[in-house]
Amino acid sequence: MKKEYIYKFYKSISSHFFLIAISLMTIIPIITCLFASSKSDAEFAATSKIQPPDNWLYFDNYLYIINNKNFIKAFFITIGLAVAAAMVSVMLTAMLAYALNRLKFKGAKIIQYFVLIFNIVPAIMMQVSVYKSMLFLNLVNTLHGYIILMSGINIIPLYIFMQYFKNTPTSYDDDALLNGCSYIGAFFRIHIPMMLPAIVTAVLIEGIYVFNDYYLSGLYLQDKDKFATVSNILYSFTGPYGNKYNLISAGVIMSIIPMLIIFMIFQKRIYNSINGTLHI
Amino acid sequence: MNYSQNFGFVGLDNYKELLTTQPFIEALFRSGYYLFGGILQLFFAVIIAAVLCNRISLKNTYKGTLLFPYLINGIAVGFIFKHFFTRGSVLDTLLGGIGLNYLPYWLRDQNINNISLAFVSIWRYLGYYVVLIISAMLTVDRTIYEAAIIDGASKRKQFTHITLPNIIPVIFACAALKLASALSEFEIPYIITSMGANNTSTFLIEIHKVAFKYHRVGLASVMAVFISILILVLSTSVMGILHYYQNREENIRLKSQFSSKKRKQQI
Repeated sequence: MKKEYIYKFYKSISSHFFLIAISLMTIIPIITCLFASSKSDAEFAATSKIQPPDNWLYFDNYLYIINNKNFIKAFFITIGLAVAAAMVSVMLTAMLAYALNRLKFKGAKIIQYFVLIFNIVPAIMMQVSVYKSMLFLNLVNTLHGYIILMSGINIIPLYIFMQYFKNTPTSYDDDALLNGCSYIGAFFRIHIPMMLPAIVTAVLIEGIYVFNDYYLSGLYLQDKDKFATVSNILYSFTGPYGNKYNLISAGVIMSIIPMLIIFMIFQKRIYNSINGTLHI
Repeated sequence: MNYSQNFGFVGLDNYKELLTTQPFIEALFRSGYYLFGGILQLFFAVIIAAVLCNRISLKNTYKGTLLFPYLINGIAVGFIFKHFFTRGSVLDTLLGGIGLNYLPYWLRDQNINNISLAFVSIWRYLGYYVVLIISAMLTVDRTIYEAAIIDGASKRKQFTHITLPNIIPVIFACAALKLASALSEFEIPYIITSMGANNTSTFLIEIHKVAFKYHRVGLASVMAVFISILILVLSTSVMGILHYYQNREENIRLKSQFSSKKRKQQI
C-alpha cells in the first residue's frame, strides 16, 4: 500500500515537472517582453535581457506610445470594428444555420460545402480578386467596407449553431408555427434566447478574429491617420523604432492586455469555441 | 493601386511562369519546415493532453497558459520573437547560462532561420491542439477504461489501445488543419524576418509581393488558385485516408453482401 502511494507521488511530481517546463517555454518570451517594457533605454542596453527591471512602475515607454501613436483611439476603433463585425456576422451565421437545418430546401448541402471550402482556403490568397471588387464598390478605405468584409460567415460559429439546432427538438418550432408564429418570429422569439451561450461563444470567436486581424485591416483601411487598428499601429513600429525593443514591448504588452482580460473572463467559452472545430 | 484597362488573353503562360520560377518553388517547399514542426507539435500535444487528462492539480492553469499564445495577434507574436531571437537577447542569454557559447544567428543563418520560425509556429498553436485533443480524450467512453482495468491493463496499454484509437479521427482532423496552415504561413515570417529576407519567404508572402509590390495581378491570381487547389486536395485526401481506413471493414462487409445479392439475382 505504501509503495503505491510513493509511486503516485513520484508520478505526480514528474508530470508537474514536465508541465512546468512546457509552461515556462510558453511564457518566457512574453515575460521577457514585460520586463523590457518597463526598462529605460539605458537600463535596457546595460542589463541582461532576462533580468527583471529595477523599477516595475517605470511607465515612460507606455506613456510615450500612448501620446505619440494615438494608441487609445486605435483601441476604440478596433474594439468598435470587432463588435460591429461580430454582431453582423453572428446574426447572419445564426440565420444561415436556422435555414440550413429547419427549412428543407434543395442545395442546403451545397451551401454548407461552399462555406467549408471558402474557410479552408486562407483569406490572404483571395485578396487579389476581393480587392478589385472592393475597389469597384468604392469600399476601400471606409469603415463600413471593412465591416462588410469581415462579417462573412465563419465556419466554426456555423458549426456550433448547427450543433445547437441538431440537438434542439423541432417540436418547439412546430408549436410556435401552430400558434401563429412566422419562421422569423420563431427564430427570434424561441431560438435566439435559447442559444445565447452559443451566441456568446460565436461573438468571441469573431471578435478575437477581427481584433487580431492585421492583413485585411492594413489592406482596406489604408489611411493610417484616420483609422489605424491596433495591429497596424504595432506594425508601424518596424521602421522608426528599429532596435528600441523596450518601446516596442510596451506596445506589444498593451495589445495583449485586452486579450488577457477576455481570456480570464470567458475562459470556458473560448475552450468551447476551439472544440467547435471538432464538429467539422 | 489601379488595374490596367487593356489586357490580352495569355492562355496558360502564367501557370508556366509559376512552375518555372525558382523562388516560388523554393517558397512552396519551405512550408515543409512548418509541416515537420506541425508533426512535432501534434506529437507533443498528444503527450501533454494525456498528462493533463489525469487527475492533477492546477490543470486549468496549465491549459490556460498553453492556450494563451493562440489569442495574441500575429504582429505581437512577431515582435516578441524578434526580441527573443536577436543576438545577445533572451535565447542567447538563456543558452549562455547553460554554458553554450558560439551560438548561430537564429534569424540570419540560412541553415537555421526556418527552423526558428517553425518553432514560433509551434509555440503559437501548441495550446490550440492540446485543447482540441483533451476534449477528444474526454469524450472517450469511461466504461471501456473500467473494463480494461478489471482485465488488468496497465496505464500505458490503456493509452495505446483505448485512447489513441479513439482519438485518431481528431488527430487526422488536426493534421488536415495543420497542413492547410503550414502551406499558408504568412504572419510569422512577414514580421520576424521582414517579408521573408534571408530565404525565409513562404508562398503567401510571394503572392503578396507579386500582387502588391510588383502589381502583377494575373500571376498572383494564378498563384492563389494553385495554392488553394493544393490545400483543398491535400487536406481532403488526409481526411479521405481516415475515412477509408474507418470504413474499410464495413466496406468489405457491404461488398460481400452486394456480391452475394448479385449472385442470387444471376441465379
